[in-house]
Amino acid sequence: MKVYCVLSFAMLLGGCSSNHLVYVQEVSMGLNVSAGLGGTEKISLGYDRDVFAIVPKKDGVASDNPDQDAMSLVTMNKATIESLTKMRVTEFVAAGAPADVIADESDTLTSIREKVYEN
Amino acid sequence: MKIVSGCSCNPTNLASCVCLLMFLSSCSLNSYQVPFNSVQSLELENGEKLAATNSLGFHLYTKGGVGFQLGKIQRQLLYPGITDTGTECLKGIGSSNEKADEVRIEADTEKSPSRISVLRYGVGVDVSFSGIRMILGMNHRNESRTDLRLSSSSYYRSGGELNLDEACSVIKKRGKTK
Repeated sequence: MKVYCVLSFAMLLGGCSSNHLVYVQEVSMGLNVSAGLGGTEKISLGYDRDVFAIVPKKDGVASDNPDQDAMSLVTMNKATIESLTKMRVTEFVAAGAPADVIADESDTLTSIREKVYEN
Repeated sequence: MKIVSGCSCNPTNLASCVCLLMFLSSCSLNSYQVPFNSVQSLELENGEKLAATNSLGFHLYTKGGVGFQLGKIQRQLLYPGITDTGTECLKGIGSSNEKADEVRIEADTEKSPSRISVLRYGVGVDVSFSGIRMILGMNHRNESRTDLRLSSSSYYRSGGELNLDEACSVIKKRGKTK
């Protein structure tokens, strides 16, 4: 019962709304132990990297195609890790109309890739 | 009075008060350090604002879940600039793409960072709507958020730790045309 109270409180504070597109890049070095509500447990020791995006679907009432993603997303990233304290991250993220435009233009995608990986 | 940091503090004693002050200055709650606020802010080319905090000690946070961190924690919040196209970050990359449409900019983004970077060293525990997590060592999390009513583009390059080399983040209001 106490656990459910804590989780409910966390959900309230976390503001778990679906009106944002979220893109996450996470790097861990050391011990990382997690247990998800969906039955996803994870233990990692050493280097671990996760990259994921949460893209909400279109509103089923307002849209003719409710299974369609609510927004496009284009990202490119590079992480260089030399030590615990020396880490370089280069990242490009576009969401919505700019992502639609970029996805249609191979030259722009090439420019972004060259910029992200230039060093 | 026993304090967690290991000092024995008595308010009537000057040394104890100094000890208490040192303990408090190494704590933070949601990036607000006690008694000093260590937030540094910087305004960038397209009107972006960058807020950074850097603190050592014991930290409690209640945003995006509940958790604590014992050790070092650095946060960097990037608030986007508002532009007509939302594609200004492509200019620095070499694209001439500027498909400006007829959209009036009205977004209030002062309270909504487009990018949140958190670098943590030490031991930390998080409880959020997605589960429970314990980290021992280093963890670096970069989170980009875009409101579904907006469009955005951002480019970010950091050096060691969270030392910023280059950052660009702009948004464009979507929806009705003027």
